This record gives sequence, structure tokens and C-alpha cells, in this order.
Amino acid sequence: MEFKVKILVFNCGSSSLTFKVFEKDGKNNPKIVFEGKAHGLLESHDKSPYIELKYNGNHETKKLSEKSHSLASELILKKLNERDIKIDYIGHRWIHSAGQFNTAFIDNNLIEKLINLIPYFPIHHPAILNVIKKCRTLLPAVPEYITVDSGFHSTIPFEAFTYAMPNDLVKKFGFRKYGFHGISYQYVTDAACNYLKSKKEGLKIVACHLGTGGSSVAAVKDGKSIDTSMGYTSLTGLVMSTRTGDIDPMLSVYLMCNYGYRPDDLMNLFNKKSGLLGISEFSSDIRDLINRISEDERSGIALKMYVHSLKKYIGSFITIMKGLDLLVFTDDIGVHNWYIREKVCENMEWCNMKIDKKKNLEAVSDNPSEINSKDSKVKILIIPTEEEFEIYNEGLKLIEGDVK
Amino acid sequence: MILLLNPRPPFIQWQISDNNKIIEGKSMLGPDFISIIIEKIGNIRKINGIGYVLYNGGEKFKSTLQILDSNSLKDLEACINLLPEYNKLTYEAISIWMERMPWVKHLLFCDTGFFTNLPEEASLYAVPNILAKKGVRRYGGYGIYHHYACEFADNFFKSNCNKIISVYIGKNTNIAAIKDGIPVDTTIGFTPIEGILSDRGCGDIDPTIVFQLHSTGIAFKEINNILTDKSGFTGLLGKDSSLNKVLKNKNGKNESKALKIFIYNILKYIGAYISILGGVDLIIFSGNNIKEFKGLIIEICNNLIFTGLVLNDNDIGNEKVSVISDVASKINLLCLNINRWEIMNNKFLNM
Repeated sequence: MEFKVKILVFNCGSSSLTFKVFEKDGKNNPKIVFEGKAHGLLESHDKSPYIELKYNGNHETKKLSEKSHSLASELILKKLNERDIKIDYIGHRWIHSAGQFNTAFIDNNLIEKLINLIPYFPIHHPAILNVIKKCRTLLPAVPEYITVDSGFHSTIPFEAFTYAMPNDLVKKFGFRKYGFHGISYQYVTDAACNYLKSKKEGLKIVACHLGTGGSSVAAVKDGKSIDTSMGYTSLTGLVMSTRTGDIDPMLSVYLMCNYGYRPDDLMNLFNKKSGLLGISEFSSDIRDLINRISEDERSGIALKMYVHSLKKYIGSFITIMKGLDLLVFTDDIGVHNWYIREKVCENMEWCNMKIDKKKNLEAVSDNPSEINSKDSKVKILIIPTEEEFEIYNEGLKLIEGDVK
Repeated sequence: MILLLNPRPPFIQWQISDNNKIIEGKSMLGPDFISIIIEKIGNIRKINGIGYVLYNGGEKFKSTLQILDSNSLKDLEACINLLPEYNKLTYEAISIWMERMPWVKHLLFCDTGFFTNLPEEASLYAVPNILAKKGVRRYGGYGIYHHYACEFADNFFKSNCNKIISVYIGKNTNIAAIKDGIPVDTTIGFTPIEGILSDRGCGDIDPTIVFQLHSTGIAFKEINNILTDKSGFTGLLGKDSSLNKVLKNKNGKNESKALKIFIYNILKYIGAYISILGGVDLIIFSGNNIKEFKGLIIEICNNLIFTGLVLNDNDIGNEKVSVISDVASKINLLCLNINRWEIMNNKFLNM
């Protein structure tokens, strides 16, 4: 269907709010007519909040008076009004729906469900809800929808999502693997198929979404997620900047019983003081650790652990798919960090994968680039992710279904 | 005559072997424990050596096998906290027998010893360093089996098996990755609960679940009980269960689902270890009465055909060793029929 439509997409991070206005006109790819990002919105951060705005080639930075997602969104809506940009739909990223819905229009009924889902992501979910409420108040006539980050993983089969725990507890609490970064995986899967001019069917992809905060890996077969490293929450899986990744579940019981740790403190320790930061005792930023690798043993160990956990998941996913066609690196670390990519792809000849070190080093970050050697049967691609575009895309599908 | 002791709370399992004569049993570790054993053998002086299993030797016991002396007791005591129920029994058994028979050889078989030198990227958890100083690390387990399997393969193949994946199948199935004779990773972590689901243990789960359960008012003791005693096959089946029971009724609806989850977990770890080893030369499957797991082993191997593995027509029977890979296979496959007592007796014989 060809029609003209403007969609405003909000993407809430824990301390940031990204927005983009996509304008679709006929069959062409959409134009971004206005975009920006608010920073420093988390209470516990000591940096003062500000917002960057990009419009018609102009770049503007403004201070914000409060650390609030809601306030940042109000300012964005005001700026849209000043520039006379009329929005037709607003899309939001939602993190976790406990398998209840994927992409859906927001109504009172859904709002109630969203409120019930707050405990799954107590930092992100309230912030998103506040932005939704602000939009409903200021632009009551504009329909809003959400796209769920765990939605792409709804195709994971039971053997991969089941935790071997008593059934009554599993039912009561919904304990199972959900997985996250789904919006990003959907985007890079489509982008990879476009780049390779390949159909999704028959293609075996391992995609690594390596972010500055959270990271995960997914196994994508025939365009569908069949397993991923994150679980019931985003704590588990890979070693991350401040999160533990996989640990023995009995550790917490041991530490609380023998060393008197309080559950809240330990949870905080595992989520905010662990990972690269906990091991290195220096920084949660992988670039800092790479810079210190020759002089500081702890930084070196942290990096080794990061690579080790990633290699394990890649091997697992190759094995359950019985082979591999394509390895994708995305998000900040995946796109910008040649060192990690080189280490991860070392000694992978067993699955017919070989990296071209020179191409890897010279890869540019704003377009898909191929970094495997010529004789590698497995392609290795760097694909910058575009979550906002994917949320726009999902919205378009929803709207088209609606218009029909 | 060799006496072997293995803690199985609340009992101590024991075996007495004299040439080919074997007596086995289990007893409470009370004041009459020694007299029970004497009753079986007539004269205590017949015993030439005593072997003990220690399930978690922490950072103190760094090899699979070591000779105990009077200084060892202090180190043993320091390990009790790591696995209280089991380690306490081992400690007490050693105290009793070393005092009673100081003139014989006392050997400690430490199940974590093989894994004390895991490389840091495998032994450490990505938690604050201060916790590592409290003993938080991957200790591994079943090192007695994996170490033996590895030595056996070394003798059996002589060469070309530098990258080994050793799969122990049983009550607490677990896997080790071994390079040039040295373990580089294993599925059992700080406790045997981590890794692959077992008869009653949950295996890998999101650690947030522990906090979530606790926040609804469930006490730690009960959480401990849920994850170590009510989960695994027992949890999946919703009734008292085990790998053996599930295999006996493998076409049942719930059983076949549970098996699928189990095999999936094993395959994920095998894949992970192929990846960190950079390939694999040999996969060893070991266990007591390995022929019971024949179907399971074949199914695991069939899922690995993409690696260039080729099965032959050999059966997995009562023999101690079966080679089930074809000469054309890129990976050697070995099945070992072995139990803990045999491995321990072998060590005594070789000393």
C-alpha cells in the first residue's frame, strides 16, 4: 500500500531517550525529518541532563532542567509543534511482555497490562510508561503503539526456553528464557539478507549484539530466533559491562547464608558492579580495558572472560543449528571494536570461518561491511543496528493491517 | 586389601576389595563404624590402604590424588563450608581412620582437584573481585572420572588427541573440555547445580530467579531445596524422577520432552567447548553401565554429524571400552564403562 505517513519513534534507555521522526512517502525508503537524543536521565548519574536535536542539517544542544524521560519527551513534542511537524503515529520500544504481545496499539486495556509488567524492568518500564502518558496527554488524537524487545524471540522452542524447575513455580512466576534485543536482531537479520541478496529460509545466522551496557547473542534460523543468551531477565548470558552473565544460581544462596549479604545488595552487585567492571576493578568500558591490556593484569583477564563467554555461545548456537552461514556483529562494541571481533573469530576454522584481519581493522562503521577472508565459507558481517527504524517498520506493518 | 569410602549423606558408602573379592555397603558414620568394617573382614590388619572421596577440595587440594598425612586434617576442615553435608563426612571418616590405622596408606581422591588450574577465563565468574576472594569460583566436579578418561584415552590412542571433550553421563551429567591433558572449562561451577540439569538439580537458570523467589517470602533453605532437590528431571516430570527412569519410559509425553531439553543442553555445551578448543579430536562418553545410555549417545552423535563425525556399526555393550567412530570420522568417539570404585582401586594397584 502506498500512503504518506509520519511516525515518531521513542526508544527509552535507562539513562537516555532517543527519538526519530520517519516520513514515508509512497514506496521509497522513509526520510528522517527530525531526530535527537536526551542524555543523563538516570537519577543516580552525576552528569547533568541535556538533549541533542538534529533538524534540517542543524545541530542543537539544550540543557534539561530535570532528569526525567517524561520532561524530555514533552520538550520533543513541543519542538515538533514549533516546526509544524504533524505526527500520524507514535511508536515506543517496550522491553518485556512476558510473551503476552509483540507489536500492538496502545489502549487503556494495554496500559493496564503494561503497568503489571513494570517489575520485569523496574528502571526502563516506568520511564517508557511516563513517555506514553505524556504523549497521550499532549497529543490525544495520535494513535500510539509499542514494539516489544523480547517479541522476536517468541519463536524459541521449548527445549531452549525451559528451565528445569518445578512446574508450579514455572507457571506461577513465568520462569523461562525470554531473551532481549529482539528489535535489533530483527533489523540485522533483514539487513543481512538484503546485503547478501539471500532469502531468510535456509540461512543460519549467529548475531552478536554487543552494547556498551547489555550484550547478547542470538541463533537465527530461517529468519526466526531459535535461541539467545539472555534469559528470564537481562542479567544472564554473556559477560557484560557491569552484569555478571551466566553464574551458578547457588552463588547467591551461598553468599547470603554464609556472608550475610542482603538480597537487594547482592542483586545490585550482580547487575551494576559485576561484569567487566567487577573483574577489572577499573572500568566498565571495554575500550579502557583494551588500552590497559599490556600493563594491567585484571583488565586482561576481564577481556579474556568477555571473549571466552562469547565464543562459547557462538559455538553452542552453531552446534544447535548444525552449521553456520553468517556471523553478524552489531551495536556499539560489535560495530566499533575490531579487537573483540578479531579475538572472537580466532581458531574458528573448525566451522569453516576465517576472518580477514585487514578488512576487520579497516571496516567502516556506518554501513554493512564484510570482514571474512575470501576462502571462508562463513560470511562475517558488521551491521550497524537501527532499532528506531525497526520500530517504525513494525509500526508500518501494524498500520497497514489496520488500514486493510 | 583396600578400603574405599565415599560420602553419601547421611551415609558413608564403602567398598572392600581383596584381589577379586568385593564387599560393598553403606553405614552411618557412628562410633561403631570401624567395628562394622572389622566384622566384615575379620582382622583390621588385613587393610593395606584406605581411599576417600572428597567432593570439593577448594583451593587446598590441587590434584585428583594425594597421600594424606597428619597435616591434611586442617586443610580438610577448611573445605567443609564449600559443600558442608558431603565434606563433613569425608573429614570425619578420615579423622577416624587415620587415628585408628596410622600405619597404612591413606589416599585422598579429590573430585575438584583436576580443575584447580582451570584458566582464569573459565574458573572466574564475572563478579566483583572481592567475592572471588571469598572462594567464589568454578570448582568443577567429577574430576576423578574426567582425569581417568583423559589418561585412558592418552594410552589408548597414543597420539593425535589433543583436544578432548569428556562427557560423564549419569545422575549428575557433566562435561569437561581438555586441551593437551589440561582442563580448560567444565559445566559444573561453584556447585554441581550449575551446568546440565540433573536428576534433581535445575542446571543453568537465570540467577535472578533466586531473588524473585526470595522476594515472595520463600526462605533460602527452601530455595536451596527447590533448586537442588525438586528440580531437574524431578521438576520437569512433576514427580520423583531420574535420567534412568526417564530413559526407561522415553516415549512418554513428558519424558520425551524432558529428554529433548537434556540432549539440547548437552549439545550446547559440546558446541561451546568445540568453539573454545578450536575443534575437537575426541569425544569420550563415560559412566557406570554406559550401555544404558546407548540411545542417548547415538542421538547426541547424530546431531554432530555436521562436524565431520561418522559413526561405525559397533555396539555399546558391557565391554569396558567401545570405539564407536568410523575410520573416516574426523572425530574419535569412545565409550567408557567405568565407576568410581574401579578408578580408585586401579590407582592403588598402580602405586
